[in-house]
Amino acid sequence: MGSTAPRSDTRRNVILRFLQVFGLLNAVALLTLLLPGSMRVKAETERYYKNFPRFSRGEMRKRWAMVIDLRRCVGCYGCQVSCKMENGIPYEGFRMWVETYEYGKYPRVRRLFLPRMCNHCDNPPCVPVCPVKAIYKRGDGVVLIDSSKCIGCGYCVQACPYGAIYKNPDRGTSDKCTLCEHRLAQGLLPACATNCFGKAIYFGDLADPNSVVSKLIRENKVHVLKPEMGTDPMVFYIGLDEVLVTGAAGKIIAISPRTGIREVNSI
Amino acid sequence: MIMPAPLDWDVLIAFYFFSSGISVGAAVLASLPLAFGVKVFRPVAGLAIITAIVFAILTPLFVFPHLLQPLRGLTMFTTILTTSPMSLVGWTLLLYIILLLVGGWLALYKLPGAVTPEAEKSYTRIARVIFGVVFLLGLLVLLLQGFEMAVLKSRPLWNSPAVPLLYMLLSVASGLAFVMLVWIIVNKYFTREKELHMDMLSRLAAIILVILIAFLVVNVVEYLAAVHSGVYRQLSVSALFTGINLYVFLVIGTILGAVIPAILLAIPQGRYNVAVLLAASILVLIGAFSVKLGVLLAGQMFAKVPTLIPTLTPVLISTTELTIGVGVTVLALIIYIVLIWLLPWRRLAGGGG
Repeated sequence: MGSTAPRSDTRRNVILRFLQVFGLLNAVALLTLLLPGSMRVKAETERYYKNFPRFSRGEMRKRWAMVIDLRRCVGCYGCQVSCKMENGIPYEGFRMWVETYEYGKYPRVRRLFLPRMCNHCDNPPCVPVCPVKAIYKRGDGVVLIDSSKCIGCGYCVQACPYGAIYKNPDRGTSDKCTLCEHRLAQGLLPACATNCFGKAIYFGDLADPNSVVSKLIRENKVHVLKPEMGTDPMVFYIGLDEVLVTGAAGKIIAISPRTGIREVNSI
Repeated sequence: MIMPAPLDWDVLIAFYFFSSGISVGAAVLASLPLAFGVKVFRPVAGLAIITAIVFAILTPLFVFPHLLQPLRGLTMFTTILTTSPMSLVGWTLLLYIILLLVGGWLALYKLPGAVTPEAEKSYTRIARVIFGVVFLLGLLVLLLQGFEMAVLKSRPLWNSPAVPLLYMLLSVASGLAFVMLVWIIVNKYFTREKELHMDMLSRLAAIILVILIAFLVVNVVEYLAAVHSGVYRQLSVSALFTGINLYVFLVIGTILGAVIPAILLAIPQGRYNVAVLLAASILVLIGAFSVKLGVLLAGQMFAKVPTLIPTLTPVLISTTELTIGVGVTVLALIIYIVLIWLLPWRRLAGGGG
């Protein structure tokens, strides 16, 4: 061991050098973090609805989309069950599921059924992160998982802001709604749209201005889920209560087959 | 009734981050004398190389059991996808491991045994280049691992530019702490000379201290900034201080694993003793694992369903993954002990720089 004074000097120099580098990195991180997040969300949402509906035409010149009229949904779970039956989904997995929201104060208590599924986004966040290109967007906009390529890393599950992808233990891969592409190939509608007895689920080509979905979007006030994410979802909702979207609903009972029953405060 | 959700990225991913962190931290330490000529760390360079190699090779063993299709996972190495941080991590890690093996062989077997000054000079030059690249690749692996999480807009807790930086800092600190711990144990209890090189250890301790301070500063900035950000982010940050995470992230990870070691290492140099360094390094290791696990759990507690109202969902850790993680760690330690017993890592300390 040497004398104390030179060692202290060296130690101080080492500390100072590290502090310089990390101080600079910290300053950069701080500047980036201080961007107000709430402003970003609002601006993104406004930008989305200004240019609505936003979608790209693939090489097939089609853009399959779904419009769900919540005013007609009776909460029968027919779509959820028919999806499971059509696609052989295991007990713990869901390609489509129905959430229930109860809100408001007596005597003005309300209930909303919200069928949920993969939004087949125009800008799907699950596609670019897949390390083996197993998940891809087809020319007609359908986002699919190639189960012969999927390694089951769960990256797409994490990336999806809608919680629409799950790990299928039977197949050993990630799994999600395919818009019943096997039925589409035969000119049929997806199983959920066919079996909806309240006629709440409409399916069609958004690129065709005369299609039923284009007309419904044109003629009604429609919402998409999480527009601020910039994903450009292709599942549109009619009759989604403003108080739920704006967060003015107060206490809400939320029921989901995936997470159970809970009481939450809307924001 | 709220149903706890199974984790999509379970505890094995925390082990994977922890293992690669130890490897890169050790590689950074080995690079200081071998690539950048910081001679004071030369005695520990051999040990650091073995640490880096063992934990780098064992890192994939934590990832592959986590995949639903473990063997198919190798197809990741057939193409590089620049849009996927996971693909980039795979390739960078592979290159890092290969260069580490070549550099390790050169440093442990060629450098100390070089018979002529010319040979030693050329080996030193090659080692300098290799370890320079290993240093950069190692840090890149850590940054990309952080980016794997930071790119996910769906996970507000992880979706921050500070996450890669925090992961890098904590990982390097854990690697340095691990090598310091083993160095002290081996030299104090398993050799006759008992030469600890306190001068070297005090500088190592100073570096760990600075990294811990930087980590704590970025942490505080990150979570204070969250208070002023969107509601999603506020809620997701609150998951770090909710339920079991209060202990995993805050008490064990941050206070016990970063604040207390920083205080211990801030003791003036003249009063450093081995017990303090041992305690600090053990705490840093526990803290690094806990923080990584805590952030992993908390990020996934932010429930994406039901969608209209962001909530926190309790999560379940898989006991199978926990058993595999502990098993592979024990295997890594056994292999590590055998290798430091067999390999000539002390020879490197005798040569020139």
